Amino acid sequence: MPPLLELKHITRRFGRLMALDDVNLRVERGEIYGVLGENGAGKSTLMHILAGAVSRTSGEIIFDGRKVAIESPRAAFELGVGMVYQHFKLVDTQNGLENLALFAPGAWLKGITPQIRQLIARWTTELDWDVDWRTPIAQLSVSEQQRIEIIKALCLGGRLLILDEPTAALTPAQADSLLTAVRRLAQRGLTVLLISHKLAEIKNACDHLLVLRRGRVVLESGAREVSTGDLVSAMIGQDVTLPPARRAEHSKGPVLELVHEDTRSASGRRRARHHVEPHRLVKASLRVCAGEIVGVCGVEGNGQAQLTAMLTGEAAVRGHLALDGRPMSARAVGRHMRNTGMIPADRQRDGLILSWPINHNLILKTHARPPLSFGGVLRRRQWRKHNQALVKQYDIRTPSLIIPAAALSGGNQQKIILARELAMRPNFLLAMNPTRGLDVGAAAFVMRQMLLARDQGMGLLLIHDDLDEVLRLSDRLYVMCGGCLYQTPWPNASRDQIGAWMLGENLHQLADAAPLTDQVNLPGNGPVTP
Amino acid sequence: MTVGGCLAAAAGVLLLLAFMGFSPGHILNLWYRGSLGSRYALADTLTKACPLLLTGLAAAVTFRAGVFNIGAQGQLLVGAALAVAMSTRWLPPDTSPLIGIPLCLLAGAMAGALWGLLASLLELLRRVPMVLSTILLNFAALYLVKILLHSFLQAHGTSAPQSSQVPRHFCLPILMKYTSLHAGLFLAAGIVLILEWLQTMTVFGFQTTAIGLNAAAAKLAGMPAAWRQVQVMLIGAGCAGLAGAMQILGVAHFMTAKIGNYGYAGIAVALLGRLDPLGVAVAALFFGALDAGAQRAEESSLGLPHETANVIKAIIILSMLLVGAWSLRRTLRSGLARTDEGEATGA
Repeated sequence: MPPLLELKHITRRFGRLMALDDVNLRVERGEIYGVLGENGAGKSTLMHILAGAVSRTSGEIIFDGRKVAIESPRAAFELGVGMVYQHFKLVDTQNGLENLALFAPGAWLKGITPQIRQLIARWTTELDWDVDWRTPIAQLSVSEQQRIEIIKALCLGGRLLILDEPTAALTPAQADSLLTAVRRLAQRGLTVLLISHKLAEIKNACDHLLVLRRGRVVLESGAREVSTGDLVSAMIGQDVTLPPARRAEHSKGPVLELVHEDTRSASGRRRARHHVEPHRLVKASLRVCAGEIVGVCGVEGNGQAQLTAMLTGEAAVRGHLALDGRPMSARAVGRHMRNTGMIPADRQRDGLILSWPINHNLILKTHARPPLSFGGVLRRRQWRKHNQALVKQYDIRTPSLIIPAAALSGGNQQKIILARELAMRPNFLLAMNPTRGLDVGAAAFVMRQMLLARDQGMGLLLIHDDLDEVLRLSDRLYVMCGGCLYQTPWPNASRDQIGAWMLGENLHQLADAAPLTDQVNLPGNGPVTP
Repeated sequence: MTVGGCLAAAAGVLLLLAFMGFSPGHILNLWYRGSLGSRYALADTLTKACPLLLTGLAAAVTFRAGVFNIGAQGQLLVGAALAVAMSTRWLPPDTSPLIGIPLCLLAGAMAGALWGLLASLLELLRRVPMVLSTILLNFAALYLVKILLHSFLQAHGTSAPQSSQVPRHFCLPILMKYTSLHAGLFLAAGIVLILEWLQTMTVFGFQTTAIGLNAAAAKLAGMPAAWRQVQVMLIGAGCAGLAGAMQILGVAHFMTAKIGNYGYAGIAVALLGRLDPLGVAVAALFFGALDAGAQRAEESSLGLPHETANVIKAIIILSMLLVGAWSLRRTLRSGLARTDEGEATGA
């Protein structure tokens, strides 16, 4: 019998970016197949191709011995492929049954037919789950919502189930019961593709593992034959030689001090809609001094969003926050933003006014200061001088300064932001994924400028997904996992160790390094190894 | 591009008139004579443009900062009512016009601004969407004014819902005999110039535009977004209130609840003027001319129905806006093409 699914030379290009590069994969019937990889490694793109949400640039998909073209989610359903996305695709105001009817073939006309009810009953008994089909989705907990999603995917598909980060929003107990249920389904002949960051979990649950890194398959093996260490190094990669440790003298004063502890019980807040919220920041203690780069690395969705929100004044700190040595409320932090440097994660949404000319974007923060304005009146001649100098210094490639920022490439847009933020010489700069989506040249330029700013006495906080770059730039390093911030002994730690901490392994080793975060016991995403 | 818009509009209008059995040439001639053909026609156009200009600014100034103030009509009614109260009830009749007229206008502007502030506060404190609250406040204003016209403001000796006459010396000076063209025109023009200056030359204008285009980025750049949005509301709603006061003191000289839909028309004026004060001035003149011409065509022996005049106005606005959106896209696209080339040669 041929394997249920075979992918041959799958390639997907987004512009200049190779999201998937010649990926081959073979999934046998009744197997649980795990796909691992960092953010942006291509896992989701691969799964989206299988679910018909994204098209492939080239390559073949062979399903059940037949060559197929999965061109739409509907086509995927018809083959028997059902996918549960990390962010559920449910309509909040409707109940489970209605959500299922939205997708079931013919249901738009006939409503929930007896056949559909039979299907639901079959899968619910096989999974041995209690599912509330009559309550609006918004009033259900995340795990209840997920059960509905899974049964929906099974009813529509039924031969291959794809689960994208299924345990990301679950408590350990819920995750265990989910994985047990999945195993049971596999024993009855269902094939499962499972994406996850959580190593221990995926290693236990899967029969076969595949590791992607920058769009390429770097490791494929049976789950028993491979060690956790091998998986970590395959995911993180080891091909980059690290620069020598940086000087770590912190004689200068702190520019950022944060002590935050959220002691509210999580149980009430976990219900309803929680899956769309980023993970809550539970405990953090952080200090950035002038003249150093402090890195925060972690898998996306472990509390970075809230950390950023607190540092920009959008969320309140439960504890203490001081910028430039002055304690501040959330509102004061918001006002202080004009003196704080920031490279936002989403440069197009938060960093630029795309329809505005480059000229205006370059002075978005400094327009109210002399010499660019005086007494509330703008001085356009001064702008021109200021901006022309910036364009030259930061090598922004543009035919003119009056075209909208939207017309520039991503790299040049990032350079506009970098120029603007560094030129105002802030004491503190918050940089989020500053090189994301940039080509090698532009990324190197951005990193060089950040190092230069540090050497001139700026304090930088770097929140970044790319471990290589964080390690290359940081003087000190924190790891963020499950809503907690852990200080690492970097540079006296190996990248493998750091990679493991990021993924929630061996976090107890860090307990001593960060006295404030030692007694972490998180309901949702606690340290995997006690 | 604008030429294309005008041509499209003209074609639409001519077709409509032909379908209705009017001779398009005859109607257009009447229209021209009623709006631009003589100095009296011109004065009529200017008079009609005056309130439209102010309510247009009320929408433009706020829309630009991302505050969707649809409530110019309510603000205008409240402004008019306060101006009437000031001139007919509160000010002693022997007050000098040099003090009385500015006080009346100021009262109208303040009343409008406060009415707008209600919506701002609702959004700020209770997250009520601005579009909703301003629209509903229009109705609140309308019925409030009706109550006042039946009670406090009602002219003595009548049972009709109308106010007493504004005393002669509190009326705005007439600039041209046998017309209603009043001195408020200068005030409106001055406001346009001030707002244009504010918008293009000051930190305030820079920030309000930035907030309107991308509030998230503006906030992260440390701009006081909420405060700026309240400020533009005060300015915009103040303009609308002033329009009401000016209409009473300059044209009507007494008040009924049917003051004219200048508030709603102002939204169209603002959009046609691309939310820029000078553009709004041009658009208001254009609308004033349309109104004046339509009135002439309605009053003539041909008897062009009132609705037809409105349909013609709508056709013109829609074609202008359509062409505007289209040309914006073209500019953006050509800009994109240009940088791609620039990068290719640069690299």
